[in-house]
Amino acid sequence: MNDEDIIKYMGRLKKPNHSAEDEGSVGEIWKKLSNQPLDHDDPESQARFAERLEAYEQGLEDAKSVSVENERKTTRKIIAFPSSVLAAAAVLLLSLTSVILYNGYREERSQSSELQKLLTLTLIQQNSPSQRIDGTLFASRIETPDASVHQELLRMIAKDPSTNVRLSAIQSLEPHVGNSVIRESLIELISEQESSLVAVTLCQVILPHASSAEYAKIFSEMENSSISPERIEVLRNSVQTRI
Amino acid sequence: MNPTTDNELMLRVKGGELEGLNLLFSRYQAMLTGYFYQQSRNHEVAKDLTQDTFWRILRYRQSYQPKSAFKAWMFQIARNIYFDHCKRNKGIFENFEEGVQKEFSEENRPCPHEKNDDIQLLNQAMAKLPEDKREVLILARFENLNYREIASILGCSVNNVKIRVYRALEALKLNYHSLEGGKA
Repeated sequence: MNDEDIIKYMGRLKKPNHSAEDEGSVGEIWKKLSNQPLDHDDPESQARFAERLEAYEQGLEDAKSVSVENERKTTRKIIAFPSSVLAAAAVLLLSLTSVILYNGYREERSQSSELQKLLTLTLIQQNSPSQRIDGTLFASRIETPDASVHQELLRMIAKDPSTNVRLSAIQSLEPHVGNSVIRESLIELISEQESSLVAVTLCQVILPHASSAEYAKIFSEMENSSISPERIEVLRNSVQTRI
Repeated sequence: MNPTTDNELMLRVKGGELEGLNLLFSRYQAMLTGYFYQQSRNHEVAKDLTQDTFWRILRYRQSYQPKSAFKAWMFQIARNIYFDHCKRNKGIFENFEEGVQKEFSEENRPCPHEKNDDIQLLNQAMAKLPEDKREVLILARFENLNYREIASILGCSVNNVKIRVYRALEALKLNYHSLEGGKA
């Protein structure tokens, strides 16, 4: 039989009042299957399910009462919620504003510092001594001058032909003499000074910050400099007085 | 409350009137137990799986859609329950045929209604069928579902069900005559 015939045949076979003709082919086995005994209702199973269902319903009831209690707690939390959220939001807003303002301030300061540094380095390299002096003044206004500015000022103290420029450079570096690297560089420049005024100024700037170990080197440098022995003696006495 | 149809009852259960399930259970417990028994050849397992089916109906009552017949929906759940049971007990119930042989062995007293040789032969012939053929015969003949209901349960067309039932009957007939010949 092809599929179409099977479909028609099975349609007829399923009917309770099918003819004997239809019982051909698989009809016989179909009929035998109908002789299979059926399972009957089982009161024990019915009772078992009813009991289980009752327990489930009881569980639902219990869960509902717990749920109502949880709902009340949640409501209380929701009522308490806005004030804490508002406080948190306010703190967050303040923090954000502070960060933005601080960042803006830092950025502005950083930009200003960069401009000052650029201007300093430009002025320091000018031919005019007055402009170089202006450069040293600008250098002293830079809050956080970097090594390049310090190096330029040290170079000016060592080699600038103008005494006034060298003195101005020493004044610009004075706030940073506490830095041992700068101090060490300055000590080495004492003996190189042609001008005793510049050498003495260097000593006056260095000595208040010098360690006891550095005194020997400083006085050794003084003796090799243009500073008069009398002036050296005065400086030595000032140090002993300080000690 | 006196709803007549299964669908009405199930809708009430879905709406929260859970006691309606007791009535549905009483309507279908014999049918379901028969279905599971034909699949597993074990009365206790069949009873447990019937309970599990209604338990799942209870738990998933919200997923019931009134457009589908309750009976078809219930059998879909029953099929899944049986597949899950087979997966859990793989190795124990894997060999259905062995189960049937054991059931009809001398030491196992057969159920009173299965003393008939013909029924025993038929059951053994059923046991030799592949799972899909056996299932479609159980639904079509033992449970006496109509083709439309079976199509809905198996998720295929009505014509496809007819062809599948026919092929299963052919295979069963071969098995049966083979056993009958061997016995003779």
